[in-house]
Amino acid sequence: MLWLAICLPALPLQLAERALVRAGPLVIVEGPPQRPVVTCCNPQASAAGIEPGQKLAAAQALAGHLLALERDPARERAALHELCCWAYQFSPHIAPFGDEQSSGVILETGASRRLFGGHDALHRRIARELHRLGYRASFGYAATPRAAQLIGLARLRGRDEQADAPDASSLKAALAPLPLAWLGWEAGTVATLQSLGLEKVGDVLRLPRDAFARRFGTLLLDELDRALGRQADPQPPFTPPERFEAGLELPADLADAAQLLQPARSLLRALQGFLRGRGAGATELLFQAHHSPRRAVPAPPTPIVLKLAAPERSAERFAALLGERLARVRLPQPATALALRVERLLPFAPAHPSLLPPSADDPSPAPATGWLQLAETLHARLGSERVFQLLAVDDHRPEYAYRSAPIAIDADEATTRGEASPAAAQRPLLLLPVPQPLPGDAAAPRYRGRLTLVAGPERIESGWWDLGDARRRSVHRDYFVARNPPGQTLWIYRDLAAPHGWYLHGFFA
Amino acid sequence: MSTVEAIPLFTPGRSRLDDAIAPDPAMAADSQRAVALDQLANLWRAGDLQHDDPSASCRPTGFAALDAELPGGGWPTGQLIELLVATPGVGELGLLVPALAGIAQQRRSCVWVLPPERAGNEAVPYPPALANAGIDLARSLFVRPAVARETLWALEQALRATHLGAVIGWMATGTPDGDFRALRRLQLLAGRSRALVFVLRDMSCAPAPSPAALRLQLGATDGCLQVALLKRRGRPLLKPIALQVQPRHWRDARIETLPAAPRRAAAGAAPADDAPAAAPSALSPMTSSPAGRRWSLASIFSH
Repeated sequence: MLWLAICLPALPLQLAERALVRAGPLVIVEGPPQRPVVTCCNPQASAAGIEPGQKLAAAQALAGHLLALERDPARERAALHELCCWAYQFSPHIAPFGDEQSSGVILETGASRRLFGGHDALHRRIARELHRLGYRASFGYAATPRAAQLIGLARLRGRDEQADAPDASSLKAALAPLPLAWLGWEAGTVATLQSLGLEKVGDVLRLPRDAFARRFGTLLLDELDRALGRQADPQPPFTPPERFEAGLELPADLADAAQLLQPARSLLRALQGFLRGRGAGATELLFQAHHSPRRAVPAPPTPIVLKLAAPERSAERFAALLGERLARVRLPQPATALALRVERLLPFAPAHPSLLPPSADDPSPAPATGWLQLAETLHARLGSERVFQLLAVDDHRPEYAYRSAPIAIDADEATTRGEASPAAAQRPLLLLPVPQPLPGDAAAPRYRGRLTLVAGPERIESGWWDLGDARRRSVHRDYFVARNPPGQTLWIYRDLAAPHGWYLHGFFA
Repeated sequence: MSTVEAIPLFTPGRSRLDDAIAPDPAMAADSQRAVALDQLANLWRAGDLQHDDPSASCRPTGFAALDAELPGGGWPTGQLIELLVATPGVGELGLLVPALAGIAQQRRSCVWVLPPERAGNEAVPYPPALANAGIDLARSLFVRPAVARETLWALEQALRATHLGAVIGWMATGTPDGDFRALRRLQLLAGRSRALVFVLRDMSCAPAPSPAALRLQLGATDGCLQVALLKRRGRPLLKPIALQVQPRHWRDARIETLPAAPRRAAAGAAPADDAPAAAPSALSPMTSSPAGRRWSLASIFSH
């Protein structure tokens, strides 16, 4: 087993920096409101002389434009949980860890090496995707989880020459040079050991076991055994949640909806990792743009829903559709935070590429992916009422003999919908949804000139069962084909009801 | 290219015997050149129309007279085809329908970008007529944009899709420069796809230059569609082609006398429009005195 520890230095600071764009001194404060104490500071703040443990008042005296943010443990836990969901695509054995030294995620990569093309390829991939998410981290590889954590911590603290411990025999050598303070033991114990002249982990490992256990207790000895692999160290199992939730604070208040695309990309990458781990796809993404809660009348979050025809999990595809969708969104107030939620996960099967190259005029069924993606893109930009399919309906009345329907996912399955009886006579290729009354008298209707009747009459009387229905009417008409001086061929009818008016219904285009 | 002309019997200064022994070098060179040029395979002559371009495939239009005049013998794929129509309803869609039916048989999809919505009662392609013509409605997508800019965007997106059979779009007329740029962009995108690309525009755009490879002007006289090829790869066409797009029996038919307005419309229309509660009132005359009311047989059977 090979464990990888991803150690995130100063997680509260990283979360704040993901949300901020200005480069200035930044500190994270914690503690009672009367006496806030600095816990983390960024390089600019350190350059000004601020150190962890100082009072906030002292820090503000040292640096002029200091930004102090409160530490939020709930947000850190949520961020670690999101990171675990993202890491689920690489391995099923994941556990978050967090203490004063560092926080992060441990995952077991030994079993996944072969799938991802080797240890180096997997490491590069994890590093690259973590960087794209916006995190800085150090990595440590070891045969036990605790040792991996310590190695990662060593690299975090600047020990670049720290070696990995991929097998059990190298664990002792890798852990020996680490200082005792990094183990996270009680301060009193560490002080006692230091007064005895033991500075490093290697020194403690050389002590006789039973004497150490009698003096300091078996718990510490068990911890060392677990780190060295002499005892089992089972991690609590990680079950990925059934739905995906992630949030991001925006650096500046964004008034233009199109600018939401950039922060949305990091949320979509986290979603992609989660979906890859679950082997699922999503069809409905619910984005919510939160507005400032400090206004006099706080606005409710603006929902932005992205719907797809088929389950998808690629972040680029989501981002492309979201870009089109955002062109239609208007924010009532500037947005301060963006949240993404996916409720339903659907099984996802990526398209199998064919072994044979496609030929030019292939009579075999066309892959539906290109057409479906086109429909989704058009739908995202123009809206569902402007992108549709037309189906023929079995009705004698011409204006009800068709209906528009949303896009069918599978074109083969859609051929069974919309049965239509073949019309006995010619029908026009273009129809007006609402018949247009024609000027002129009853004997000589006119439409851009005097009309000459060429074919007909075809009597259509139907729909008596729609008596009393305001939207659908019964039809009593005599249809003719007419031609006018400019050369148009029209489908007109005369109403058999009391005002025997002439109406234009279609064009034989 | 002139063919080899007959050598005259009497050439001033030369006799036939001289020609047989030593032919005139200039004349012989001419004839040799003519023979050599004839034997060249990839020589393009201005009068030629069919030049084999293996990269572009053509789909038959369904009308033999038009196929004979189009380079390649049909609609070229991967090129912008512009159709200029003065008034809708002359038969422009009927011209395209046979080629679209062929595409449906190959199970490819087609995208229709309808004219932008203006008044609310815009004409819609009629599915029963499309189905009769052989177009697969399950593989057809219809887009109704709100503004002209969305029309161009939708056409671009459709041309970027893979494995598309045909794109039919109605383009509104804008400024000549803007239209030219938009058509150029569509032409470039069309070159990358293997679909049939039809753009229908108003006749007023005919004099403006256009980057489309094929431009047709459509008009109708006496029930025949007159197709004039404004632009094609090859020599220009001088007179328009007449095509029978609509049924032949409509061509010379006339209906002079209309059937009279049906009498039952006077009594029969009333129950159709009124509430059903009014229907029993037509039966009430049976209880009243028969002399005060005259009702016909039709009124009894009208409800």
